[in-house]
Amino acid sequence: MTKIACVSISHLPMKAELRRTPILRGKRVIVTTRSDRGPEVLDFSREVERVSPGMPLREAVSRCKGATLIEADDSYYDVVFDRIVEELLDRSPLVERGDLGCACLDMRGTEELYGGDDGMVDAVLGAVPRGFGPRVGLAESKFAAYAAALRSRPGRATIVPGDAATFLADLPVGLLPLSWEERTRLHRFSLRTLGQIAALGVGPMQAQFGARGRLFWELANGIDNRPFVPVRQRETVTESLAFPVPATSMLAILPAVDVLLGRLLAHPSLRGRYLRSVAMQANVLNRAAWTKRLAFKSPVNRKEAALFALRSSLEDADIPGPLEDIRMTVSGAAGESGTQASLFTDVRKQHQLREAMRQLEERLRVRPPIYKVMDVEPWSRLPERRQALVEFVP
Amino acid sequence: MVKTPRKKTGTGRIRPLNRPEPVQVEEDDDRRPSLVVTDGRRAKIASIVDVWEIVDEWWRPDPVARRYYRAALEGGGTVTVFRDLVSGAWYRQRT
Repeated sequence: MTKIACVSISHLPMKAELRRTPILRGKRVIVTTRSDRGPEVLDFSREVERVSPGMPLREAVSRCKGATLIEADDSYYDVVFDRIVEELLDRSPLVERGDLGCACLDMRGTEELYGGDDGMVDAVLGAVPRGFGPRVGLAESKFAAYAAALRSRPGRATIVPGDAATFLADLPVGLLPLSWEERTRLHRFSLRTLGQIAALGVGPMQAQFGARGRLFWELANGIDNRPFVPVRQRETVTESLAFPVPATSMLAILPAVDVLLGRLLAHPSLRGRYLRSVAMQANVLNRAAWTKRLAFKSPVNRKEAALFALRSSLEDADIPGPLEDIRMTVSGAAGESGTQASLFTDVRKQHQLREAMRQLEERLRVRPPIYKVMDVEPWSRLPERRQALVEFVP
Repeated sequence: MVKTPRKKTGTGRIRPLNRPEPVQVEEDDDRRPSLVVTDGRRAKIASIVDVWEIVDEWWRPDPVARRYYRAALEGGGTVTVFRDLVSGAWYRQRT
C-alpha cells in the first residue's frame, strides 16, 4: 500500500531570514521581491498585519509603517530548503521536491522501520529543524497528504484514514492545482468544496475543463495518478573565497573564480571527472545576494576550458554591486574518464576554434560575425579583387 | 564539361577586402597629390615614392583606369592614393 508523507513549511523565506538574523525576531519584517509589476511582498513576519504575498510593496509599506524591509535572497532560501530535503532523504530514499517549502516522501516499505504511521510522522517531523514549524500529512496519495499537511498545525501532523474522498469532501477547491481562470470558473459554478466536485461525476467536469477537469475530479475523489518524481541525489562540492575588500571589477573577480575552479577540480571527489554545471553565489555589499548559474555545453575537466566559459558568462552578467565573497558550487559531475585526443595539432586547433565559435554563438544568439581571408584572384592587378572575407565555417 | 572544383561560398557572404575609399586630396600644379586628408587629419606629402598606372577592362562599360601614387608623408608614414582617370576622383587604397 502506498504511503505518502507531505511536509509543508509555510513562510519559509521569512523563517530562513529569522534563522540567519535572529535580531529580527519579534519585529515587523517584510521580505520583498521584484516582479514585472515592480517590487512586491514575498513574505512577512507574524507581527505584520493586513499584508499578503504578492501585494505591491508601496501598499504594504503604507499598511505597515515602520516595517523592516529585506530584499529576497532566493538562492539562500533554496539552499535552506535543499538542506531540509537532504535530511528528509535520510528518512526515505524517495523524496519529491515541490515548490519552495513543500516536499513529499514515499514511505512505502518503511512501516517496519518506524513502527507504523505515528513513527513515520515523528521521523518526518524530526527531520525539519525546530523553528520552521513543519506541517505533515500522511495519506495514500500525494494530493490527500498535501491537503492533510495544510490542515495540520505547525509542528503537528494529520493522518488521513483509508477513505481519502471523505476526508477531502469538506476542504476548499483552492487546494487543487488551479489556475486563476479555473478557480474563477469553479466559483461561477458555485463549486466551493472538493466534495461538490466529487459528487458531480467525471463527465460534466471533463466537459467543462477537458483533461484538467478529469484531474480535478480524480483528486477530489482521493485518486492521484500523477507520477511521483523523486529528486536525484547529486553530489555537490562547494568552495568559497572572501575578498579582502569588496570586489567590483572583473580584474578582481576573475582571479578568484580561477582559484575556486582550481580548488574544485583538485577536490578528491571531482578528480578525473567532468563538470557539467557551476553555480556562483556571492554576498553583495548592502544588496541581496547575487547568483549565477552556468551549464557547460559539454562537460569540462580542464580549468582553462571552464574558465573560458565562465569568463564569457561573467562578462555578460549584471553584477549588482561590490562582492564581499564568492561561492562556487559544482553539481552533477559526469563520470567520463577522458576524451579522445587528436594526433594532429591543426585538427585540435580546429576543434578548439569550433568550440569557441559555439560559445560565441550561444552568447550572441546569432552566428558570430567571424570571417576568414580567402584568395579570390590573387593575380589581379586591382587590389580589391585579390582577397575577400568569407564567412568562417570551422 | 568539367565542373569548377571551387567550393561555393555564397556570394552574399563575400566581403571584398581593400576596397578603394574616397579621399580628399589637394593637387599641385602638375596634378600630383600634395596633401591628403586621412582620418580627419591633413597630412602634407613630403615626396612621391612611386607612380604606376593600371588600365584594364577597357572592353567593359565601366573600364578601369587609375594612376597610383605611393607617397611619403611629412611626419612619417606612407599612403597610397590613386586618381580615377575616368571620373577624376581620388581614392585611398591599401595595396
